[in-house]
Amino acid sequence: MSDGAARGNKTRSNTVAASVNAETLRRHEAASFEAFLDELAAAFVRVAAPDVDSEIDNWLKRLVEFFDADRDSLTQLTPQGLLVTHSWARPGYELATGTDEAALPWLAARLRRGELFVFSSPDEIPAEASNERLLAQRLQIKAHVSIPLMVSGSVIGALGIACIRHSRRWPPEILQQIRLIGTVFGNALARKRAVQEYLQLSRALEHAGRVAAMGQLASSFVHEINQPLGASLTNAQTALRLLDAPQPDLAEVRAALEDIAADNRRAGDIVHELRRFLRKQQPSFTTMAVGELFEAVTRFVAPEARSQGVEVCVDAADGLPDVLADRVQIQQVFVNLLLNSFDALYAEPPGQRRVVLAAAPAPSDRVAVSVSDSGPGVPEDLRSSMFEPFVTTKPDGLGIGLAIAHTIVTAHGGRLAYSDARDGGAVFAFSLATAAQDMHGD
Amino acid sequence: MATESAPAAETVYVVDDDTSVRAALDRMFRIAGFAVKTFDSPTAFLSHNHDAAPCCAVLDLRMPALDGLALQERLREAGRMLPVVFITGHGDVPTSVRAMKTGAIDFIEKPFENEQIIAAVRRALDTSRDSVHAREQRAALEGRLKSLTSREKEVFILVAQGLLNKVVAARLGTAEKTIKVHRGRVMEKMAARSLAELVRIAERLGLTK
Repeated sequence: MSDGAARGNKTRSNTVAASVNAETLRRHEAASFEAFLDELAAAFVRVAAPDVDSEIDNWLKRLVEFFDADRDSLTQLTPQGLLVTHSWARPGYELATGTDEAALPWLAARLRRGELFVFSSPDEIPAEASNERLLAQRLQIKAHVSIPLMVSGSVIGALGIACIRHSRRWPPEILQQIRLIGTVFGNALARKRAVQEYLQLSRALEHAGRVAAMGQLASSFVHEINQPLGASLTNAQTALRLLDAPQPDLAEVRAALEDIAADNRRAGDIVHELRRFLRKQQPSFTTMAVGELFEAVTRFVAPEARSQGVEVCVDAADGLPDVLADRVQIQQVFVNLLLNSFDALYAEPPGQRRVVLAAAPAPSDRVAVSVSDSGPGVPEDLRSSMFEPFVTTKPDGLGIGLAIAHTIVTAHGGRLAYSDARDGGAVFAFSLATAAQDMHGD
Repeated sequence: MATESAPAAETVYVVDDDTSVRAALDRMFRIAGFAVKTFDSPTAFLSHNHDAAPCCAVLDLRMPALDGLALQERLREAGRMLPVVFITGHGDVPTSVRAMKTGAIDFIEKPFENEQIIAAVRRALDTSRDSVHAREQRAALEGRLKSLTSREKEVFILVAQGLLNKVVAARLGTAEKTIKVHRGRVMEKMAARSLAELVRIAERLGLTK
């Protein structure tokens, strides 16, 4: 080509000059595209899962600017079909909206195969892609590139960049590397999805743990609720019988009715407590008295404690400051620890099954709390792993009780720690923030 | 329905750890005309010495420390045979069968109608009354048996076996006339009006084997 340029006529030399000029531009664009890609890849390596969306939006804008295009969009494959999840357009140009896969079957099939699709004029669109061609004409798209979003070999969507004001060419240097954008975006989206799924799973696990603990307690609850209900029925029938007498003993009738009312309240309290326990809710920190917390927890495990012959003692120092915690979650921690202790005490002789709930002031305005029992303690080989999910010594245990307790305590800024009691039992301890500490923190 | 009074000495022992249930049962049995004594734990009931009068116990099958079944077994071990009506919360079939085998009178599943449990308690008291009566009769017979001389007792056993005076005399190496005298005194001391009655008494005392 250079030989011809040296020899050739004016027209030809002009063409060559233009082509040399274009060649320079091409080289320049390819070089700066490489730098652009480096920057893009680096940005997505650093980005945290929750920021993936805004980072993608940011780079959609920069992509349009880089290619002197007019708009671009990111389409994801969902169970419902293709869905535009991110898009950007120059001011005055419409944003891309939903892509109907049925409307663009040719393009969709091509992208699903992981192939690039490029044109610099709608005329280049193959005849069989008639819908795609009509759409490009209708939207006055003069040049376009569609890049599949790839994650470890499978296609999860596509990135489309459209030029409307003027056409442009897509030189091989660019096309060779443009796929990298699809891989970077694809992986970022996959990472975000994985984190979301993980969070959903851990929330589900936490809920499952609560439900499992409920299952253990359910039969106790049935008993506990049947007591006041049964007593009420007996009293109501007795009252009716009393009223059948020619001169009813009204004082006795009144006493029976008062007992019925009290038993109803008792049953209601139990149901209320149960519902509060079951409710799956976001953590919300409130201040509460330690004594009140311990009372609620001991009341909750009372049926189980009684049926297993365990004595639950409370040892709380006087004048403790109120603690700051999510009421339901922190109750869950204590219930899980208490139920574990009850199980650990199974082999102890009756009368020596004892669990102590203790609270004492701790440094930096915190309150130290613990659950200790008179059982055999945690076996040496389990100590390093006992807070991990699905580690259990119980034949029918899920192994998530301690894991949940650990997660909740951590979320409360504490650390659930195990130690041996002086007499060989287990002690699980952690600390809770107080209202005072919270104020200092601010 | 009128309050039909049961004989005052017949007592229903209510053993339940739940205050509400205990109070409700106490009121119900009282209004139905029974004497009631309540206990908040099986241990408390065990340490109470109930008298020989007809009585029965109403126990919750599911109590802490010592459940209803264990309590019933302890009572048996202590020789305190009293009919037991069990209240059960979960229709636990194997447990119920076990309790029935150890002499439970009835099972009342929660929730129950007052009439159900009152009827069960009446049946339990009937049983208790019968066994108290039988116990008393047996004690009386044993007392009478003790009043016999050893010779009279020998004669009693042989006569009760249906042997003729002549045969008895030969066995004991004495005269038929002497046997007749002994036999007359045995009849008198054992308060038997006929030979048939004397044989029945011997059977009840287990002397005819």
